Amino acid sequence: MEVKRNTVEFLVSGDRALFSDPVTRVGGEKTSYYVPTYEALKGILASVYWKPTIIWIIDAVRVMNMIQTLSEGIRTKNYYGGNDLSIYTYLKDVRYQVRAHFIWNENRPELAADRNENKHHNIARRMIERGGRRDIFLGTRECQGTVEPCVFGEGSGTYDLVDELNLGYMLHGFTYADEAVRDAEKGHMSVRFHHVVMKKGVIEFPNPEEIPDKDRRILHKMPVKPFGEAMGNFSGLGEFAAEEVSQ
Amino acid sequence: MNWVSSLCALYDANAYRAGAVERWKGRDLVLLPIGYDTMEAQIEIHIDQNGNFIGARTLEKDEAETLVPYPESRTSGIKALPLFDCLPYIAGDLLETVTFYFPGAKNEKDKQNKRERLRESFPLYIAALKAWCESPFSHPKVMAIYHYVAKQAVAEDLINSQVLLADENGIISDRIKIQNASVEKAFVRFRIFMNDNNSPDSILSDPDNAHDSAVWFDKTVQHSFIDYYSSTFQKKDLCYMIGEHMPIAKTNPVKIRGKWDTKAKLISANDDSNFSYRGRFNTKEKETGYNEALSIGYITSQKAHNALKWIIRRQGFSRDGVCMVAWENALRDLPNFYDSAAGILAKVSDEGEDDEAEFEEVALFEEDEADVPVTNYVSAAKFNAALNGYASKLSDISNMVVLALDSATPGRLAITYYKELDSSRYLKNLRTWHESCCWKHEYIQDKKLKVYEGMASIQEIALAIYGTEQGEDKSNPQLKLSKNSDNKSPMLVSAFERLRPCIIEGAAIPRDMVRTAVLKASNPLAYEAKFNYNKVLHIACSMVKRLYWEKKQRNEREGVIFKMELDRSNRNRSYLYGRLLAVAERVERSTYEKGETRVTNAERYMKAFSHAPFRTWTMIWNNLQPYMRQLKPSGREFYKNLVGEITELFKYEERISVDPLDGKYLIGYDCQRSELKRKPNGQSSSEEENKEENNEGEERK
Repeated sequence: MEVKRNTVEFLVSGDRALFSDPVTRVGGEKTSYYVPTYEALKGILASVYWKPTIIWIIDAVRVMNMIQTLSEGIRTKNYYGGNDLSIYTYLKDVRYQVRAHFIWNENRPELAADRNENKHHNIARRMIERGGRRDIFLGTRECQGTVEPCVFGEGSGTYDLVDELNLGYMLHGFTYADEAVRDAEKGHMSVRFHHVVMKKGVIEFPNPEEIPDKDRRILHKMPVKPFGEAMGNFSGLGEFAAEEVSQ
Repeated sequence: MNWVSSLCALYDANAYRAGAVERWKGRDLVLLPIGYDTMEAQIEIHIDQNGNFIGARTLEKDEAETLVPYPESRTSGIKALPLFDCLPYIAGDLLETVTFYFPGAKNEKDKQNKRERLRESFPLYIAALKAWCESPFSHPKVMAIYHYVAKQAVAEDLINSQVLLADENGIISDRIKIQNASVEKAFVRFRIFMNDNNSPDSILSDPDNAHDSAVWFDKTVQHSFIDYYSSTFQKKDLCYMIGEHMPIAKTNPVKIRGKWDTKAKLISANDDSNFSYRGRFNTKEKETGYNEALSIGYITSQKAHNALKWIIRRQGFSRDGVCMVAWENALRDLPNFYDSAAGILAKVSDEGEDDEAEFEEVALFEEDEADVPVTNYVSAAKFNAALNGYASKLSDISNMVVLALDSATPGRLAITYYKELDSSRYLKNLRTWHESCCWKHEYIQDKKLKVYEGMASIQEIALAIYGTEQGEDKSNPQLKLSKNSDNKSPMLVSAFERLRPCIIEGAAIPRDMVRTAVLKASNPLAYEAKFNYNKVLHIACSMVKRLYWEKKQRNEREGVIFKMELDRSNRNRSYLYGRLLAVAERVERSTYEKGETRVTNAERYMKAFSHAPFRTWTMIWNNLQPYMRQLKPSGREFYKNLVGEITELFKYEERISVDPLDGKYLIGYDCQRSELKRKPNGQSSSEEENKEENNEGEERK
């Protein structure tokens, strides 16, 4: 595994996790995959630190604890009010080491001025040390987690001696319009899948663009979300100037 | 692999069985072909190969089950099945020949709607059948049915052959039922008598050609349907489960856990009513089945569901809605993790018997404390030999899958547990479970008290931990679990859920269950029947033993492996107090008249004793004195010496401590109890045992 210059490594852990299998999710009886999906890890890292300028690429995850499940009866809310009953199957006591890096989002030429690799890398590392900017959750909102820095591969994991474990065909992630590279996927939302194999506890994820067309499914049209000061959803250093002066 | 892939693999490995009826442990078992399901038929029509009517008859309940092409599940609305269907679909002349009163209809408009439905049914059916017959995949038998049905004389023929009967007024109406099914619901199947003989191979499970005419068993018809149906798909999409592009399933099969399981689906989507997933996805299209949130291949879905239904009916275990099934990749027999050691052994000894043979859980005899059951003593060695027997039959690459299903609501089914593991590892873990929990458990079989070494079944554990004595029969109270409004026992479900990983994966035993077991066992007054209390006590001992065994595995200071025999050198405070309690109980009980069942002081104070042993012991000891005086001098001497011997082993500060006792006291109590029981007069030479007991070094700390 090639280690990029702007690599970050972190340990994410929690009492439970639910990386739901889409097949069970639609019916409402969510069952977790055994390992986190690429998209779930990307989401965790985006909670730690993200800017539209960058795209996080997850290189690998290392499963540290034994994969255990627990199922729980859940009283869910109906869309139109009232209650429903479901059984959710969670993963129990999870710990993952994750290695990731970022690339520039070429779909955002307007943010080209923000492409300062050292800046983003340093902020990301600082944010990992502080446990992230937003709440960390493992797959679903009710599964809270924590993030801390680590050295990928350090320490012993349950699956260190298991040569190969085939985990089957799993969701890789979503390609949203603003990260779409292929022409057919531009302006659309699409899903990606891949066959997951865990070798000695480590799953190396293919880069989203390495996944062939046959493992992708283009869903509906979706516009790219615009960002910018004019939209009122993007702020630079400017608005802090006053504070600095007053101090 | 995920659950769908392993179920597909199971289907592929057994695909040669598809469509044939096997006898399995006294029941009929069918692996459904792709696109097939079973229906209960009420009417059978016989025709010849040119579609001429021969005869018709009604079917009895036991022959009613029929394999029918059932490509997509049919809920509401008018939708014809491809080959066999209900009378309104089959009979084009039904409305003309039968008088419909619609007894269930609310008003005139409702009647009109129902009539309209009946009118629309037949054209749908005949059009679909025509399409099949005109496709390159048509089959002579299907053609025969088409020719016959197209004559639109089915209802007339049925009246002539006395299947549709007139009421007392001579009117043939929908008020008359056919084998308890209303006329609109009566299901029809066909038998076709061909003049030319089909090759014998093409007809299934048919040594005497008796099935020759049965269209539903004809494999060539089944293949014809599958080929035809696959050709009707236009669009392909990605299958989320196996990653291939194939036609997509619009709906998924139901009735998974059993015939009674009507609507619960494993894969469902109720986005139209409750938006369980909408979020970033657009809705599902009803017509094509296109769904943004999910796409499952038709073949994948059929294979996975049919394999699951088959394996559940073959070797599944259902209780209170929880359904569990485990299978080995070559379908070899493996012991069930939820059985007791004796249950596993029983299955080895009488193979072929019904696998649900449970022990009678009834205490039918007068309790006599001195009775030590010896009949059919099942030792741990025998149990191990049985497991070795299983292991020897396995190949190196033997794998197994454990899967559990449960439903919170009637409409949906959830996979609550799924695990693939090496069969040899499973056997190893199963053995470890029974070894680490090994205690002597009693059960009753054929009205005899029997004993085995090992661990009780999950159900028995749940009964011991969460059960209370219930039942009208006061003389024979039974341990039962409380039930919820659905008449299920949530505690049983949770016991399965929580102990399963302990057994299958060697996970740690839940502490709260051990604690509850100890609390239950500390309260003998809660049990009328001695048998029930003993069961609770022994299961508590098993669990306490397991707890300390686990500590030992983790190299914790407290870890210890308890022996089932009395350990006279153990100086643990709880263990010693447990021994004292057993002596006190024995002394009092040995003075009882025959048949006297009064509760002893020791039992009465047991709960208090477990909280404050030092203080309570003084009380028990004082209360014991009158009984001591009733003993023979030699007996009195023996017990006094024994109490002194035990007391000497205490460290003083531990003896007077105000701390409550931990679970180990039950072990000491039970060991001392059975030791004294074995020598009821207490006259044995204790030196001899000392020698026996002290030769192993695996004692405390």
